Amino acid sequence: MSVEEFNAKKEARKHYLKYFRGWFVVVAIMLVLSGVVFARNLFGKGERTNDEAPDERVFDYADVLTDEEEEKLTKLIAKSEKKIQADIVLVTIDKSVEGDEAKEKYGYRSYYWDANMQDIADDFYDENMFGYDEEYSGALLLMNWYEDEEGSQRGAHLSTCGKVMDKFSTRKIDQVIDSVANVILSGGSPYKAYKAYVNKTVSLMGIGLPPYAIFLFLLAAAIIPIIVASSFVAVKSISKEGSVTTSSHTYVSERSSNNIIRDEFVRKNVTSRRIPRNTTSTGGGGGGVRSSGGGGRHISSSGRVHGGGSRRF
Amino acid sequence: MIFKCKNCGGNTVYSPEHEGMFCPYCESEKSHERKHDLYNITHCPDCSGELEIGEYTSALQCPYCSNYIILNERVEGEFTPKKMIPFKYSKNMVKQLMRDNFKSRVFAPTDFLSEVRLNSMTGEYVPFWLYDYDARCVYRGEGTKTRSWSSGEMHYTETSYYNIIRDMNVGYSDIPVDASIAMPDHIMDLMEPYNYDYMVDFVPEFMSGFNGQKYNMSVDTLEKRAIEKLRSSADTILRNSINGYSQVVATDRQVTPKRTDGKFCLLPVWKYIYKYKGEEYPFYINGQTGKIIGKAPVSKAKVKAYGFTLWASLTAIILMAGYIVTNF
Repeated sequence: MSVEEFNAKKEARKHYLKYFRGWFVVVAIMLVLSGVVFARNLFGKGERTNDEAPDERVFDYADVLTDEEEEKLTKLIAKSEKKIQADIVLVTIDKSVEGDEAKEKYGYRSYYWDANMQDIADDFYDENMFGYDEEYSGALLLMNWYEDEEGSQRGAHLSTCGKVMDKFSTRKIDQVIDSVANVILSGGSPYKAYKAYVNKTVSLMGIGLPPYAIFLFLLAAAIIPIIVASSFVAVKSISKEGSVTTSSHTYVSERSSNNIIRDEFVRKNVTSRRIPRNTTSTGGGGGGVRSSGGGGRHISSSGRVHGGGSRRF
Repeated sequence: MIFKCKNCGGNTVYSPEHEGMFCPYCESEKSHERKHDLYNITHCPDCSGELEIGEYTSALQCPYCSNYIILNERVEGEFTPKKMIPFKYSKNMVKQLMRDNFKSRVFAPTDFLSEVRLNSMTGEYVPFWLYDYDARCVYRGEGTKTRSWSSGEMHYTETSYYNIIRDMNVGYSDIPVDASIAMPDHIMDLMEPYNYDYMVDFVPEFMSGFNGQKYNMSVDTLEKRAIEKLRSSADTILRNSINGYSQVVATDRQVTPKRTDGKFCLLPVWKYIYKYKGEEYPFYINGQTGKIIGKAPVSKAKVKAYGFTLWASLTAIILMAGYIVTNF
């Protein structure tokens, strides 16, 4: 390689690096950020900041779980809480929460199942000072097993708070309750149902991207750069020799004159036709409202904001 | 002839920056005097080096002593240009123009705009014939206008017919046609327009510092190219004078040009021939207006490197952004 060629290569490299400086900086920043996220996921996220809550997470007042099952659930919950940075609490009860008698006996605010389930769940959460962080992030599933001669009051209420409330729309709350109800209704054990509750909560708190969204995303990553790079190449390769910058009048001199400019009207004719009748119709469509989080938002008796929803089954 | 500096004996040239004669050695202005008034030379009158003189060359640089020599017999008599437009852009100004114009061409080879390569460009006084014409343009045709409206259940269409008559005298002055075989016609057409307001009477000293040619072809031989330009202009003028019709059918259209003058002039052009991988990429720059004509070459290696880098960076950024968003 001659000195000239060497210098040209060096110059070309300089131009190249200068041209892509911005891109390389962005790539480097993204690399660092990815590394930070990766390291954080590897070595655990933020530590629990709330130490006022009890260590216990499973409150089996209805006594539907064996001691062994309670222990296993507690372990699963402890592991899951770290993952989603939120508390997961399970409470089972076996008492009436509906009607005059129950209202008087237990001092409920309401006659209704829904309202009372919500009160009990929220109050339990608040009184025990649950919550992973300063926002009191967490979820509490309250399951009622009560049954008497007037009928079954079986059903569950999910109370959400903090980050879980922000993330859980009414639809997601329904999904969690569904996961529990499906196990119970298909004859599964309460333990299995509660395991489903914990797992469903974790998965809904996670990435939040459904598979089709990830697919679309990968598709975008495959297509967009190709389109951008090829149009860049195309645009930068277009080379025009030059354009005509003279007009029809460039060399016309002042000696020009118009002898005759005449437009003579000769004749005209008119034709007519009948307008065909046509009928047209117009239609309209409607839109829907989508919520992204904060399903069933309300304020509990302690004044804290909760999200939640319940269903009997 | 060679123009020399009275003060230092150096070769004085026309300097666009100083708008006049200038000695690059002692920086004197208007210090030129005409020397070596010889005819039919074959060797440099100053250094006796052998000159390679082309068939039409009227001014050239001696390859040995770098003096600019003007060939007397080719700028005198029948070959005396009537007018000329002196260079307004110096070599340095044109180099800057080229750099500004092509700096966004990232795929151009690295040395395309290098100092060494750009320095190889030469200023050329290209011989042009400038033609004057009186053209009678006659047009006859039939135009139709349609109008439609609805009333009740009926739709009406009215068609009106008109006789269109045009008879115009269009004067043309200074239609330029290059009289150089070496210069490609379509490129010289793209060099237009020149601003004739700055045209001056020919003086040989303004050729000093540049290459030049006498006309290669006569005023009559090249007339057909001037008439072609005239016809296309006259057609447009006629067409533009006919307005408001939905349809026009011409029955008669005649453009009769009468030449009233044809003068020999020298117009300034900078020529830069860039050689890349065995091919020549010519660039021509109007020496008066700075208009650049020429296609920037493309380095395939650069296309690949830049295209791939952009693709890879973008893919990496999107994938990493996705990773960060989903795992945050």
